[in-house]
Amino acid sequence: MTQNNKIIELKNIWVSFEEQVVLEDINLTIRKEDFLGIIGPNGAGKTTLLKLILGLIKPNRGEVLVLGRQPKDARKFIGYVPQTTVFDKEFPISVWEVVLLGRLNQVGWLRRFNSEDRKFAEEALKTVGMWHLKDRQIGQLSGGQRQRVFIARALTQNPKLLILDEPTASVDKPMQVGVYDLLEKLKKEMTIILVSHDIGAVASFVNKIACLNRKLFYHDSKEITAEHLEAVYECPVDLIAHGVPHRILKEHKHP
Amino acid sequence: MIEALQFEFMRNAFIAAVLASICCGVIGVYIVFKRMLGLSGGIAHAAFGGIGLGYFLGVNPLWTVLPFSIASALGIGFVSRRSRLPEDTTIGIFWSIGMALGIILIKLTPGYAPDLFGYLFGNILTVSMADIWLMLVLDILIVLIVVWLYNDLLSFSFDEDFARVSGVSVNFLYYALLCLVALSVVMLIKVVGMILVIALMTLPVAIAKQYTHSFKKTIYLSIVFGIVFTAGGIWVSYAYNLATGATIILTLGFAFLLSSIYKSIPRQFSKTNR
Repeated sequence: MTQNNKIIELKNIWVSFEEQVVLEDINLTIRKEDFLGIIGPNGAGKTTLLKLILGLIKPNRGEVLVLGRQPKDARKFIGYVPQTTVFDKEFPISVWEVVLLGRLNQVGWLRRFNSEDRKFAEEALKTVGMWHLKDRQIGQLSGGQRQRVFIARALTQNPKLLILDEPTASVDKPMQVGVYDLLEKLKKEMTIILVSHDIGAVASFVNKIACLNRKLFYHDSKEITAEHLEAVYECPVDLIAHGVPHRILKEHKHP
Repeated sequence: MIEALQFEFMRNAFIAAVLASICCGVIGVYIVFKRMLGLSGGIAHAAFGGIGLGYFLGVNPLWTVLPFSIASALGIGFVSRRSRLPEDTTIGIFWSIGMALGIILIKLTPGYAPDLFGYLFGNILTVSMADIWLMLVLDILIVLIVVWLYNDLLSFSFDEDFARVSGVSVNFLYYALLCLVALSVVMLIKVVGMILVIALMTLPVAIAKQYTHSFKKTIYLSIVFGIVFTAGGIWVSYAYNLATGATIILTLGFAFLLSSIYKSIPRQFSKTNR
């Protein structure tokens, strides 16, 4: 049913809020085993694009297909890791409870978890290496640990597609590598899309990059050109020609 | 204290304190942790319109407050989610319109409005057996709904974005929670009055959260603190002949202050020990 391994297809998508065009003629095909990074400045429409894929908003024009069906019907195959920059550290909930809540779409009308749900939650916590901290209150974790817990919560649904919104926004620099290493491990089992404004970090881990700023620049590869970045960030940028891993942008001034 | 219990109104007052504390603990955690204090305050004050309506129609105001509060809870919720107004603006509008409506309706009602002060500031000593039955029914309803939707409400309160994506009907939960707040307001009016309701719902939680990191334990502890300090407040108000609703709130406030001081001391010691 997933023709040609197409996980996501966006065809001629237009989205506007109050006369303001947020996404303009977006075409994007994401295939199985892709690890796609979507980069772009703040307000470029990154979160809007994710919301389209999650079926939280509808495009004004165009078609979104996730696993060949309407996004809303595909949600149970999607693991979602929302942006967690605003986060109540005082919230009285344990790591274990947070992860278990990921199974809430599987429970029946009594709204209770069963042993299978607990088994999935346990496996997910072990996958991200957080099982030993399962009784810790979520606010007592470091940013990197917390991000792993949120990834575990998404994994409890056994997703075919993992979507992360700014996964390292609230994570200290040294801990970010750990999060990306985890994604590196997960990409063998599922398609991953992550959205970030941190070009450097994203570029070293993903295998495909799309640049977004209302329009999408994407060539089904890891190639990004100076023109793309200039178009996206609306200022001149220099690229280091060979390989992306270290740093793809030199210092530059914004107009 | 014991001899006071020979009076039926005192026994009723203590039963009401227990019933009120259960509902406050159960709903208060959501108000505190889902950050719904403003919304709840709006619902509680708009309820005054329902009291005015009761006087105007010549029926027991408690019967008109119930539908009125539910309607204003749904109204506040709908407008703050759907319109482009900031949430607190919406709350302010409902808050003051509800109260203004109540005042007009009471003024339009011929004669003197009995017990008006009681609805505003509460008087747990006037709780009747009928009130206790009403509170009991509302308590059972509230607890059953929260027990049933416990996991959904937890997910909704903790991370609404994720809850929505994982198929939890967040809109339903949002309105359900607002209606539960409205039900609680109705059952607490007799105890502390609509002006002080919000304090009664949040202060026990504020104390409880200093002692636990578990959601369920926060609920249980809030209920215990609620019972202890509400009963304490009744006793103080009885012994010194003070307004009960206000004394209950001050007792809770004082307990919160002491608890906060107590919680800040050991931490300083352990810092110096290190």
